[in-house]
Amino acid sequence: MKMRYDKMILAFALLMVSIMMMSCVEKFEYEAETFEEAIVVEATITDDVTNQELRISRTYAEIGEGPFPETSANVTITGDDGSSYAFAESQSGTYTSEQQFGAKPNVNYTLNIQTANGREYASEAVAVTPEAQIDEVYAEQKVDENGVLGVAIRVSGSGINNDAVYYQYKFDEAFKILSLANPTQDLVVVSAEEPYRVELVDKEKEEYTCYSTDVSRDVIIESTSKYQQDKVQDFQINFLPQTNPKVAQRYSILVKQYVLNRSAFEFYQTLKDISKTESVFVQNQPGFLTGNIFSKTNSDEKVIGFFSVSSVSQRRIFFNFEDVFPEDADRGYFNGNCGVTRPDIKELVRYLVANRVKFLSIAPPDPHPYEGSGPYRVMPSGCLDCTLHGTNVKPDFWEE
Amino acid sequence: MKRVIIFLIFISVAVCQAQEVISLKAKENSFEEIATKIEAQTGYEFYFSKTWMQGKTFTVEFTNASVSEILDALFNETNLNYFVDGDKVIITLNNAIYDTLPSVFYPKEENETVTEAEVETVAAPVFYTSQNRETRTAETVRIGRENAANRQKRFRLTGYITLQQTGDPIPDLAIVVRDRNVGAVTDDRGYYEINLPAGSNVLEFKSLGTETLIQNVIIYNDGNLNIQLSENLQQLGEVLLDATKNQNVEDAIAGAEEINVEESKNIPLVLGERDIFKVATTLPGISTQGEASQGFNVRGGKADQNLVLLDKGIIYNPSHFFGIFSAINPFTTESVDVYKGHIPAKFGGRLSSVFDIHSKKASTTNFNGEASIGPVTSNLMVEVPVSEEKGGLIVGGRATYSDYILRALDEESLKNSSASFYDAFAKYDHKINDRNAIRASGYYSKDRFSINSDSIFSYSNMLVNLGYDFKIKEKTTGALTFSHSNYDFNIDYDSDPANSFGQNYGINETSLQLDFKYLKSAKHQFEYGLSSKLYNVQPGSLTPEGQESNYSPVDIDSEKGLESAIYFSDNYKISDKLLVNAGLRLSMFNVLGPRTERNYEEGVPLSEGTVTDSTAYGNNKFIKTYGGPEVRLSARYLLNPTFSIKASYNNTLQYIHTLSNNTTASPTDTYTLSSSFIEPQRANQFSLGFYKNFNDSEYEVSLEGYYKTANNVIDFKTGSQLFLNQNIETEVLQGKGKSYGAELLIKKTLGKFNGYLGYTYSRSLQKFDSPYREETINNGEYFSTNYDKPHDVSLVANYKLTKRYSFSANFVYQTGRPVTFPVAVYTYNNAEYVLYSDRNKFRIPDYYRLDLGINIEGNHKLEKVGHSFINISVYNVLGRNNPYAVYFVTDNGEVQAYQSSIFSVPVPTITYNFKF
Repeated sequence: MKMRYDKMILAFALLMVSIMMMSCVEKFEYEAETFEEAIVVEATITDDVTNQELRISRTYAEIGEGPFPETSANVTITGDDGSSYAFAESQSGTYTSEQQFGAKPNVNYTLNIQTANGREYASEAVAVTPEAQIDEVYAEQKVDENGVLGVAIRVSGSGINNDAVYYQYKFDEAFKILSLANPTQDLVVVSAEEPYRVELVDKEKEEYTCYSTDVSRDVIIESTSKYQQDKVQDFQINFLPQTNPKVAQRYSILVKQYVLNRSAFEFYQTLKDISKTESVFVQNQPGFLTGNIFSKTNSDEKVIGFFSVSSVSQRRIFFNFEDVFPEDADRGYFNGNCGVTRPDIKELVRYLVANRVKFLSIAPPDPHPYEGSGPYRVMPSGCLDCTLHGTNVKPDFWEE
Repeated sequence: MKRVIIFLIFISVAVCQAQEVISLKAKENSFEEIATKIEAQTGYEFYFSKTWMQGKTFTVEFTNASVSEILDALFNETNLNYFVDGDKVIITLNNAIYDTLPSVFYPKEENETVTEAEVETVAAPVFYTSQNRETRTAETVRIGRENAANRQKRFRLTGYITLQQTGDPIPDLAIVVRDRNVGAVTDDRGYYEINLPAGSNVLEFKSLGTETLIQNVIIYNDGNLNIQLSENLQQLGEVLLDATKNQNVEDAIAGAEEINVEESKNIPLVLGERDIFKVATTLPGISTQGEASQGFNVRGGKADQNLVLLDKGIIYNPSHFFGIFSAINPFTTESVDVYKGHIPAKFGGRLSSVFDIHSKKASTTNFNGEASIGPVTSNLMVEVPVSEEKGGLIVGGRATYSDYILRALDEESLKNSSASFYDAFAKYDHKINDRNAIRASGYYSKDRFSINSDSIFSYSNMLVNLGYDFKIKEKTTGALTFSHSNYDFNIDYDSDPANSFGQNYGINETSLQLDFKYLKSAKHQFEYGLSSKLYNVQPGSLTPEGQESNYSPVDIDSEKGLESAIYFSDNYKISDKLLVNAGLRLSMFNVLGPRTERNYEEGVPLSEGTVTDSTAYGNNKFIKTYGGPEVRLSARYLLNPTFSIKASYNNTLQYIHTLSNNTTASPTDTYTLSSSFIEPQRANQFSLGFYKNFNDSEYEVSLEGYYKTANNVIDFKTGSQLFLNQNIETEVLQGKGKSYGAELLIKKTLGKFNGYLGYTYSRSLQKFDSPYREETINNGEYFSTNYDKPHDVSLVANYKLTKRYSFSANFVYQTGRPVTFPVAVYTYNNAEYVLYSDRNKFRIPDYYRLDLGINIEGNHKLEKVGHSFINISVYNVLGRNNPYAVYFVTDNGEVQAYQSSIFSVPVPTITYNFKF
């Protein structure tokens, strides 16, 4: 009887599972049926005295195709105190202020853009937001909602006069990359034709220790209006699974905390809302997201973007893999497959020419059942040359 | 005379054959039990329908009696007859009239003539019934005494038509006079009035679910004829939609449909759940946005513009699990009247339609029940007679076992998911006397599910209803109804102690209404009444949970409003051809305090930046009053008895609005009341229809067209945050709506093969224009609503192979719903996003689906305790992957396009139903 009961449960369970699975979500290749061109302005200036930077680009038709920078535009920011700051194009589509400046309190700033094709744009006048500080940035082991073990980067911040309320976070990541081994020699091809010949030479560049960086991509915002205090508490801004190679050695994160005004917060909140899915059943009504930059030439023209004047504070932390995870836990590597092989000379030459493998060690005379019987033991290049994943120049800020 | 002889021969044949003698002792046994006893002692087998003798018990004792003697004695007091054919005893129900006729004649008032019946022939029509079980011909009755002084050409015949088994009145029964353009329909109490030409008339009493009676009436003067009809089980399930003969043609109401729940059971439905709303959406003019969107759109109206009434009380969210299941128990529901065109004046408060759901009235004589077991839910309904012939209780409950199953599973990925729902209904009816009756009912439904593992969402509906029906005079009846209904939802987040909180929303309304019906004459039927309801809305609150929660409580000020109305309508029969249903409703809405309203600068859009100050209003202070007349006019002109034209004009007002910035209606949509800033929505509808029946009503064809305009329809700024927003007026846009369409419906109501085909062409458009850019959508031009689906084809077909087996099919085709698609991609903050087109500029692919079902009725054996019914159905047989939604997500800085569908593969189901 017990058996039958179990079977019944199983049968029902299978049915339920199948019902849940019947609602399905699938990816598809999207291509816009009609293309609409628009200008995109990313402009946040801060109260830090520095060379302020902003970006201007254009929309594009296919996912992954862009960004298309908007070049040779004439950009100025003017304050209602009579100040005016000119911007020059430092990189394609990136404009940097010619002089260093920081937004001053009680001044309303306006962004003015004149594009190469003569169209003019202006933002609403925006004042700098209240000041806030970062109280703490820390890394903590965490199992996420999918049961994945990893490290959460959390931040706590608070308004200096308890009036900051709307916070945005961006971060820059930096991490150390170590190659699997540190052979001092490289194999070079002497003859790529019969008779094939290779030669060992001393390594000239650092290929064992490298560094790489990345930037935040998500819109990370938080409002303290729902909390008892103007205090962001233990707010998770990033999560990296244990097997993410970024945290395999030493990891650093520079957290930048911007205070937004209410309309900027709403803009980013909406951008976030219409770019995620609520559930299989419910979707937010998408539409054009009106920012605070408008065309002076044609008032119906769609302008994407928001001009913010924010107070900013930032803090950097470092941690090692073993600070968070047990030392013998599995680490991730940038190169997925790092098998050792001993290709015969002809193949070896072909691989070396294509930069696919690197020298690991000289092989013993006996053939190896898995590695093969070639004269040298080699590994895929990515496992032995970290410059393929980063740079061997240690960043200025790096601390060991 | 001939018929008498034939009858006698049959009796004697029966007597001759039933000669075996047996002994039998029975105390309060049902006929079924007695039949079993006789079968055990003899070689006879009995054939009959249990319903003919529902509740009847016999106490008899026979020694060495023949079967025919026993049956004669048993049937002496009943309407049953029997016929012995070999070893089969066939019980027939056909001479009920002998016993019931004398009791149905009532003398008219003194100075008038008396009525009396004379039996012209005494033949019991055994042969008629053997040919056609559903039709019975009764002997001629003579009404009234001929009065030489009376030169009237026409006389009035009135009476009540009741169900023989229960004594319940039979409403909506058609009385048709053969070969004359005269007909009548019984009202809710089974009462009818008909003017007959003097002399001989042949009357047909027809309704679904009862036998058809053909009655010869020779009328000499005004008189009274009460009729009892027996229930006809055979016919159930054969016709999908209730269509009393020619009623569709003769009614004055344009754009109305009735759904009979029992008869809808043959439509194949998803996961075997019988669902009145899913049936409704197979009718022209009623559609849903998709398979998992709550509510329905009627003639281009938004989902919140439908008034869903269960025995006069409102149900805010009559669905379970995102609208996939209905929250109305089919076993406790008798029928649903859907008004999508002309809305009678007694209803008000919503723009688009009324779904008037009538629950079943419990039997006062028998204990009955119905149960079903399906893959998702189980359902049980019982009818309990509480007081013989007076009081009856009906109780129904339905629940899913999904949660239990999910918990029993040892599957990690499903551990965090849960889904459960249930609903319960109970109603007690009590007839105090012929003039007074009371009823009390309660309804509760609850849903609870978790889709994202860190939040649990639940919602519930509650309804309490008290009713008192009374008769003031013979022609005037009244009904006093008190009802209280509540809808609330709750979202609990408990990912970690610091981030634990709950969010709540609630709305309730308490109403009192008094309705009168005055059947003044054959020409005028008045309905009038008044109603008032008090709304209380808790627009949202946030409660931190636990000591460690960082959240601070939020409580949005509650909203209060009073909606009142008076109405009057007349069903005025101007001539035999022209019938008008004219009504006027005056409705009013008071925005009540306490409330603090912000004041904004004049002439600029309402926003955070344009607030000047605020005004606080005290409790019950009238802050603002809206109102206006609502004209409800519908007329029918009969071109001939089977062909009519109907036209209607209606205007409606709605003071309560849903807030939602989702593309489809969902259970988290909140309702808000009209305020100083949100004006009531107003609509006008014109409709014109042609109705024609062919081949003695075997085919019914209707073509209706409508044009509707609406003012102050509601939409929102893109990305607006509506929940827990203290100042919703800064997000709301009010604009114009426009919809029009043509609806064709062809029904085949009779025969082995029956069903209907509907086609609708319709458009539903909206316009939001303003001098300010943030208050316009699509540059202030008309654009498609989220549910604008121009072409809609629906086919429902049944084929009855034998009495036990029938096949059904349901096919749906719809234009894909409008969506807002990207027209470009851009990079912002190192991540890609999409730029959206104007609102609803594109459409998802067209929707089509075929469902098939087989219904197997239980065998007709005698020994079984109840009647079983198995439904095997396959939803989406073609496995069409109908897109439900298309959306674009930015994840890890990259845009990904997704398409979701709800039931993308064929879904087979078996449901077992059992009636006892």
